Amino acid sequence: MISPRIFLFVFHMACIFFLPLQARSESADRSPLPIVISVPGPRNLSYLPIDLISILGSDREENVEVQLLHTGGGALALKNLTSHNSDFAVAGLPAMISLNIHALQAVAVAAVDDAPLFVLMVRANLASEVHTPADLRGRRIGVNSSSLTSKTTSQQLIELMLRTYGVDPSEVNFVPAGQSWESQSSTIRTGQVDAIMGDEPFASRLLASGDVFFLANLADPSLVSPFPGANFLHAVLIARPEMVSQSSEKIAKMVRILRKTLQWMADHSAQDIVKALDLKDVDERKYCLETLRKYPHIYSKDGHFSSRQLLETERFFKSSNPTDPLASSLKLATMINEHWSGLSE
Amino acid sequence: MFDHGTYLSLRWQAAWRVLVTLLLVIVLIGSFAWWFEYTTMNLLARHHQNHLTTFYQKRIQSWEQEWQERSIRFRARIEFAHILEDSQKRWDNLRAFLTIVENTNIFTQVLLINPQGEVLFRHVEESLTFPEKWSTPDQPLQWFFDARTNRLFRVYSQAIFMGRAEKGFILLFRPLDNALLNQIGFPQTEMFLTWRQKIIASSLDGEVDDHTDLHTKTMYWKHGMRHDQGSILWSEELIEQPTLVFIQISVPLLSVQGVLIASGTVFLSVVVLLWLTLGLWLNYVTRRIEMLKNIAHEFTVYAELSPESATLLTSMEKTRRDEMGELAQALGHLTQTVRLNSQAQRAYAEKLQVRDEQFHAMTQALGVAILVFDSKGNIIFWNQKMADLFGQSYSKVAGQNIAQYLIQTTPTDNSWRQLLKLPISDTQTTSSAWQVATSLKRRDGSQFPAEITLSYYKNDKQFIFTAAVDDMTQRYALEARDFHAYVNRIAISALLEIALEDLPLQRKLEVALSIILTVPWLAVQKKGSIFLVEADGKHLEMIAQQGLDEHLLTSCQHLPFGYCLCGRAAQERRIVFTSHLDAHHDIGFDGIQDHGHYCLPILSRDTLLGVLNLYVKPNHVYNQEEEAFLNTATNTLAELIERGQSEEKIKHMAGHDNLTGLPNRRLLQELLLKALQQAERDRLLVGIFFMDLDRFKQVNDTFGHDVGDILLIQSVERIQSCLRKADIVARLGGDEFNVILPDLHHPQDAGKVADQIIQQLHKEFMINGHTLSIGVSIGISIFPTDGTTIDELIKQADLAMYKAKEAGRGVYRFASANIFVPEK
Repeated sequence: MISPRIFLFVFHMACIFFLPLQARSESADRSPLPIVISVPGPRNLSYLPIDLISILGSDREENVEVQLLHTGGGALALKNLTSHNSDFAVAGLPAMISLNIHALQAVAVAAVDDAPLFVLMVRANLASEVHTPADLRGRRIGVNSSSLTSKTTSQQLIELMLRTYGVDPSEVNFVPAGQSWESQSSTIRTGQVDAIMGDEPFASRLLASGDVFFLANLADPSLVSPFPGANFLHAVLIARPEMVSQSSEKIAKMVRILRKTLQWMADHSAQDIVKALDLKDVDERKYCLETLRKYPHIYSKDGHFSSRQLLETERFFKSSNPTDPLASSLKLATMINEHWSGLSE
Repeated sequence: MFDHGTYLSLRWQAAWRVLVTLLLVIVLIGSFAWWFEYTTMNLLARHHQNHLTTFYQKRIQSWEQEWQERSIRFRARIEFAHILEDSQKRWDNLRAFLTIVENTNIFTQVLLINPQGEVLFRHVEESLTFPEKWSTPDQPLQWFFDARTNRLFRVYSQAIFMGRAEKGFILLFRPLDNALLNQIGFPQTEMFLTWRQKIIASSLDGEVDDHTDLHTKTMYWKHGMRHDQGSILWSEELIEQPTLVFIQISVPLLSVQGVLIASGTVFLSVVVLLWLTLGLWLNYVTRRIEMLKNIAHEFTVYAELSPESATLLTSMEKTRRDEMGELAQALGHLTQTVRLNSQAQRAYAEKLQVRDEQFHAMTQALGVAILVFDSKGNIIFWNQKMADLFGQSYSKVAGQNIAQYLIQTTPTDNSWRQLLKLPISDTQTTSSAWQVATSLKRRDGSQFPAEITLSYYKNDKQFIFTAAVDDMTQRYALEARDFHAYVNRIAISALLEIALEDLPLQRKLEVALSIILTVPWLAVQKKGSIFLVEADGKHLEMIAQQGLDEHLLTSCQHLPFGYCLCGRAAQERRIVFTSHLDAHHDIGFDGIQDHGHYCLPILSRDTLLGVLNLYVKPNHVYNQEEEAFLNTATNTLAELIERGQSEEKIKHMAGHDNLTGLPNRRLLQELLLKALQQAERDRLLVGIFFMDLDRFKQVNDTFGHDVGDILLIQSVERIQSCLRKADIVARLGGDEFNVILPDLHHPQDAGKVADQIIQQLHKEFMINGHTLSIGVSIGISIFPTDGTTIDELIKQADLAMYKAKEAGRGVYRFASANIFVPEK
């Protein structure tokens, strides 16, 4: 039987020992939580909400400090995620599926986009030679940078498009073209690539500068033939599976931050968004505003997934990877976190 | 181990010991297991740590070599492709090149700088925060820490050809990030890369904390697992280095849960075994012991055994031949022996009780308060008489100490023994009884005088004292009353004796006052006064006093009736008592102290003679005994005063002339003797007149003795009007008078007085309608000129008077012829 005096002594000692720890943990809690997000860009229209997080201060409202790690493609962003260089990745959902096709390495927790925005643009001096995607056979086509384990959405898209036009992907040479203005414009202007499955607003800017012409635009049905899963879900917020169970609070904060940012974008005009971005380059500002006005509904409003989008994306992936047996048995729902997906709401 | 007052059965004692033994065994086994595991884990951990250190050192060296080679190849590819040689397109070319190789490039940031260190090209937007100028562009190996992103880069600088003899440096940034650490991760191993004691990369999934993830100790326990921490510096360069920290996590061989389950299992198994082997037998033995205990308890309580218990005891003696059987047999013998002894003791006790009752009856019959106490003063007997005396029965005081009934004694010291004169030690024994007179106190605090007669006897262990207590209250009261009466008688006798003494009345009253104030039992202050009624019958005059303040001697010298306390006593003719300096005190002065008074009128039958005034202390309580004595004293004083006043009157009549009240011849001689003695001492002169009225006989014969007497009286008045206060006139008889003039400096002074007398008496007298004319002839003798004795001087004056007669009457003559007498 422990005497009350000994019990009180032990209790006091425990208080003395634990109080400083408690105080230290509380003080640690007060400093912002750093969250690293690996994302293609910068200022790629499809991933613009991620660039806006720090600018709008959505992260600071949650006592979080978001740091961005820009990459030349969603596959590289996913690589940063799986190698623990970042806490989250933002990439095309098809790219995430490509990564997970052999083993589950990432799960989508929130939608960033609501519609895919890809433009197949061709160097202007090839206008006389290239009229359809079929004319790209034997040429060098720039795509978002892939990795060894994941194929980017843009590459999957161009492969599907080429097949649609009867060209086998092996008949063209895919070259990484990045996902920033500098990378895509430089590869076009230096002639390193003949065409690029590129992104806005870089495509519109290159078109205006006369460097390219549009061969296909996913947002313009008149410029693209219909293909299965054309309305697939592009940019999504992705986390490692173990984070869902071990760091659910971090995911909750990140999802709240993204939702606030998306909500802000939905509530504000294109001009407000461009003003918030505080772009120094006149052309960049111009084409960013122009494309935002041109595609007003490309962003998710609440970060939720829809069953339709997931179905479209599954169809798109299966169509773009017809030879992969694992793709045919794909169950996309297993790669979406149910708690955060919003599918049940 | 146990509280002596706590009962614990044998079963529980056995169970407790078995439990403690088992716990000790488990603790010993557990300690050994812990020691074994600790030693084993230490050896394994140390071994593993050494391997990890060697491995990571080699791994870092390998990385450094590979990254160096890649940087060289990277620069070579740019130069080989002439990317930078076209100054117009060099940056687009370079950007395109970097884009294309991005997915295979380990260098995440690329800068191109000129020889001055100024940045010419940046590839990735994150590098915008990098410095604009690099101080050591040509240093091949550098470290760069980007504080904004908390990332550390290994920087490789390569000189690069830019065409037309342009030269620059390409800086290739290899991040040391989480991905890098995950490449060399081992199961159960955590790794951290620290820069300036801050974690910049880790192999952990999730955020890290410098405080909780890094420890100063090389070994610690966390979440029930052992953590062995080691660290190595990145390289051997003499510049600031990152540190690779690796923590090897070992799961203990023995888990707490496993140890608890094993211990519990062992514990339960041993308990069951012990119960089957020893427990059942012990239970049987303790049951037999319990039966013996019950039998012993029954015998202890009732002093005999019930038939059932006796049968049970007999059966236990025969059931099994072992120690318990023998114990049962011994208990049987014991009960038999004790039963016999009890019967003997009971008979003896009955005898004692009879004797005790006899003793009580005897002490009651004696009618004396009897107290018995031991050598420590503890009361062991006190009879009913004592109970009556102290108001407490024996049952209340039994065992108490006698000291609490004695004055100023305590049980803890020997003062009560000394008070009762008890023998100090056994050697001071005495067979006779002794008496002690002291005061005793009751529990209510009241006290009474007592005389205690003590005796003692000694039993086996100690002295036992017997005390007969006699309450002396009544006896002492009677003695006190006798004493007061005795003192009173002496005082009154003394007053009477004083009354008979040949002393002036004032002196008698002073002595009488002293006698009254010195009566020992009388609670008065040693101060007071005696007043006598003055001749007017309306005032008092203080005649005698003792101890009075100077103010009072003046203020109280003459008091009208009704004024102040003494005046009130005189006016009201009753005793006046006051215990304080109250409003009835009409006389007061600054600094007067509080006091009270007894003021008694001194009455002789109904005549007030005076007042006796005595002082008492403040708060004095009026006392009938005091009043009685003081009344007796004032009565005696009245006798004393009356007698004194009578004596003084007789004495006056013996020395004075009845008609004129002047000193007669006898008194004259006394007065003259005193005057001469005084003059001799003072060396002064004394004048003695011998006067004879002229023609007095004719008046007496003509108008009768009545007129003659009046003439004598009026003549004396005229003579006295010519004299000083100290001068004395005496009547020798008939119409002859003597005058004594003391303290003269010159004989002629006497002549002047004689001349004045002659003139006064020469004037006519009007008596009863008759005009009378007489004269006087005066003879004067001077001491010491004319003689030194009374007779000589009177004779010389007489002769001189005859000379004056012869000279024609109405003149004076000196006895000495040498003294000139002026002629009229």
